[in-house]
Amino acid sequence: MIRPLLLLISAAAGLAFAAGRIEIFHAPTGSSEQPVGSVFEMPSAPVGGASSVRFRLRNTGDAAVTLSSLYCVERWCSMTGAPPIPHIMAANTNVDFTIRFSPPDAGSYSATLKVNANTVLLRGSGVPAAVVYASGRAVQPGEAIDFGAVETGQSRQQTLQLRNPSTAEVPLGVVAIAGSSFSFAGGAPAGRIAAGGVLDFAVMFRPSGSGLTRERLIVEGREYLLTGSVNEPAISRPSLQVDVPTAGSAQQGRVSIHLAEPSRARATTGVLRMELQPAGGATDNDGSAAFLSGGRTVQFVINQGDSVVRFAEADTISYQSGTTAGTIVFSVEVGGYRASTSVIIGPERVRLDRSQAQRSGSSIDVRINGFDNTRSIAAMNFTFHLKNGQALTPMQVPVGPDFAKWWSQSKLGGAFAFRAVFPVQGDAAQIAAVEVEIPNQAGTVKTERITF
Amino acid sequence: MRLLVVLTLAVSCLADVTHPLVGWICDRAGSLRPVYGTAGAFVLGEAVSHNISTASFNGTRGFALKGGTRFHFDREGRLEENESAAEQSVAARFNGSTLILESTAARIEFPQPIERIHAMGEGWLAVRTADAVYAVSTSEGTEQSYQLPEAEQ
Repeated sequence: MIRPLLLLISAAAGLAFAAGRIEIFHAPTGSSEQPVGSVFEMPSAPVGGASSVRFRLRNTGDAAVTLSSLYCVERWCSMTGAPPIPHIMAANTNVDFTIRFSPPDAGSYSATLKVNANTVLLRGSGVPAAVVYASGRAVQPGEAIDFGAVETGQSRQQTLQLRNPSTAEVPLGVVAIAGSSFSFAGGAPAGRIAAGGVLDFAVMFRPSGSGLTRERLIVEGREYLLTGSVNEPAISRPSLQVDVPTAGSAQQGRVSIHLAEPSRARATTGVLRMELQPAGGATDNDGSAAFLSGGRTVQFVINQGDSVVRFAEADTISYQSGTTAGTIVFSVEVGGYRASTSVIIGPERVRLDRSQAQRSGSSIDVRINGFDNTRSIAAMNFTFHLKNGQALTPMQVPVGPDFAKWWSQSKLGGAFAFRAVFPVQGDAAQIAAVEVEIPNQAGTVKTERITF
Repeated sequence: MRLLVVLTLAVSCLADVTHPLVGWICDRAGSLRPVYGTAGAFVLGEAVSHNISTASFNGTRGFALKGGTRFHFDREGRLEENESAAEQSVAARFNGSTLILESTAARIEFPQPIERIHAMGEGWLAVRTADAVYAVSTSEGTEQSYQLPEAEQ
């Protein structure tokens, strides 16, 4: 029966050594932790401001321990970062938390920090000092006062305050700005602030560079961040204007691009495009429908102060409407904007440029230059006139296949040079003139009487 | 005796459609190019020669001066060296930015002073200013100037 008694004694001995133990340390950032005794002096804090201290609870025992109480009860004493209670701390683990001391007035303060059965008396002093306010909110040292985004070349001013929440007058120490983008508008605040008084001062943000700016406001040695950012200004919305004598084929017009207000951006590139949408499913083969500078795309740069786009030395760029019925669409892309406008080119009868005829031996050579913006010529009617005034029976010549072949290979839109040679049996000298009727889907045009 | 004139049936008429040639110019880069199309809708064709200092065309025959050498050229732009080749005369004169057509006495104003004028084609003149080349229709009743497009790069 000796063995069971030995087991009982050794089990009891093991229980006496396995225990958890919470110790309290001051754990400042960047320094080694120091054990905390029964009293701890909090750093002095300005009235209306705060000082903070990080504490560390470490279980220095060899068994887990339950953290059942962790609090600090005073209106000027707050705790952050603590775990929910109860909290089990394993051996050799730690829990960090922060105590914040916010004195409402000048003078001495104390509070009790309770950690399970242990207590620490926290003592601190409230020092009379001006508190920085921005947009009605107290700003703590290290926090940022943001001026937002301004455009290049612009500035923004914000009014800040120094408030004295204490019951005594406060002499204002040095207030300065470290940096070049922020400055005092109206001088740095100085003097004394009465008990409960407010001193306004203005800070101007006038950046010279671009991107994010961070500088410091220093009030009696306490630093506050001043932040702002710089944006490149955007241009205003563009609009297109087309000036042309008549909205039709074979016209030369002008396009201009206007901004709602002068550009504040330094240099913005853009592009103007011209697109031809032929009617009736015709192929876009019209090289004459283009800008006179060549092609259907023009790049440009809008400079600061421009309210109209400059093309070389002019406020407009010229274009040709071509010889194809349909729609011409002008579109501009610049600064994230896109605008467009259209010009309708209606179908029209064949427009004649030049009509000639000559007698060559026993044949008659008829030449007609012009354009058909509908590309629908299928036949021509020739009426020859004799010298005696008699008109011969009109002859219809089917020319559809000849024109179809031409449209398929042409890069001139609806422009054409037509030639017909009529062999003559008999005395060709008796034929004095010819008239030609050319119908298309828009109507019929007739040449003048061509004599030869 | 009644003269009998018979024209063959239309089916045997020979028809052809091709590019409408307006004329020829020396563009601002010194290239000899055809001008196709119609009034107000011009297209510059491919250059047939470069380093041209001056050129003119009367509708059937052209003149070009290249590096001091004189050339004739035909409607198709085929050049032929010819010492006796001479620039076609034009029935027009200019004064500052004003062009005066002698045949019709019409006056046409240009946005900039005129530097030179040449024959461009039958019924057409080419007018050169500092910034552009213009085609001017000289036929009576159609006197008008049109800016010629630049050759697309």
